[in-house]
Amino acid sequence: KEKEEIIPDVDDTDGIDPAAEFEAWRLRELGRIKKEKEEELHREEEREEIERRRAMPEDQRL
Amino acid sequence: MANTTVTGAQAIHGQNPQFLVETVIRNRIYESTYWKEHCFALTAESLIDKAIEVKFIGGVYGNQRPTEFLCLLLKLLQIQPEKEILVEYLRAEEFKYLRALAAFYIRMTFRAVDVYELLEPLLKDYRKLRERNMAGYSLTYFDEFIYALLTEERVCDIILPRLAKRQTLEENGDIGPRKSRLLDAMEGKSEDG
Amino acid sequence: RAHLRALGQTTKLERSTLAQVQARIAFLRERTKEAASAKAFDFDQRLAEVKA
Repeated sequence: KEKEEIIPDVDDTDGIDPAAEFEAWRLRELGRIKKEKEEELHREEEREEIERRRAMPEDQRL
Repeated sequence: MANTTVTGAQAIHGQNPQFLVETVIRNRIYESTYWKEHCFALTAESLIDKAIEVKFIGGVYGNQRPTEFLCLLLKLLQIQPEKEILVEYLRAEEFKYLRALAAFYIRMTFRAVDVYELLEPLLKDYRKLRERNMAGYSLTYFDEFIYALLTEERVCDIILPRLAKRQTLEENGDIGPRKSRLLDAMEGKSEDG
Repeated sequence: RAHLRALGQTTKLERSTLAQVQARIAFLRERTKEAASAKAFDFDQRLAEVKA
């Protein structure tokens, strides 16, 4: 029987250093929020650009 | 029989739910010892015991061997438990690998609105998750895993079904803006607000 | 499949009910009690500190 009792080399025990674990999460969450904000801003800019072009008279648009 | 989808199963994204796992990997799972010895005849109830014994998430490793996590995912696709059962798995927060499994299944099979509404609150779960892949083991976090499910096309070697963008759903008024417990806290809103 | 039938086993999988699943989780939860509640408390407290 191939019983390769692998001992994972990564510890997934929680609560060893609660403060650090929370802090790490806080930074990850901030990163996600930031990324979402940036994407939203980007979309907003694109929308404005389209609006601006629409508002232009025909000859200038080309 | 052992590999057929439960009778009366709903097609998911227009096909047999098991086909959401691509053929090569699916066949690897059917051939695996774990599948044959531990997944046969599992029910939504007995699967819980297996899921809490899981020690890592991941897709395939080594010589294309599927993880137990992946086997159980396919099992869920096969038996298609009711939605309420999946929600119940998610609620069992002390069993993080069961929760991860449920989250994955929900991402693969639920409607986009439900996916966001059920999974986003889990972004506050910062526990560690062990992941196994071709390179060995690595450490990830529950929130990162959830975020990957919401934003990536491929997680744990599984190609995820297309998920409507959050923004689109917001514009259609199907869903409210994403809430972050952290943001709320920083802005001094009440915790349950 | 035929051999399973011959052994008197059914090849039809019974479906678990929500109640069964809830009971199973409750049972397993009892067995592994301590951890979770402490952690949830921890999270809320830390969030409160962020606010401050």
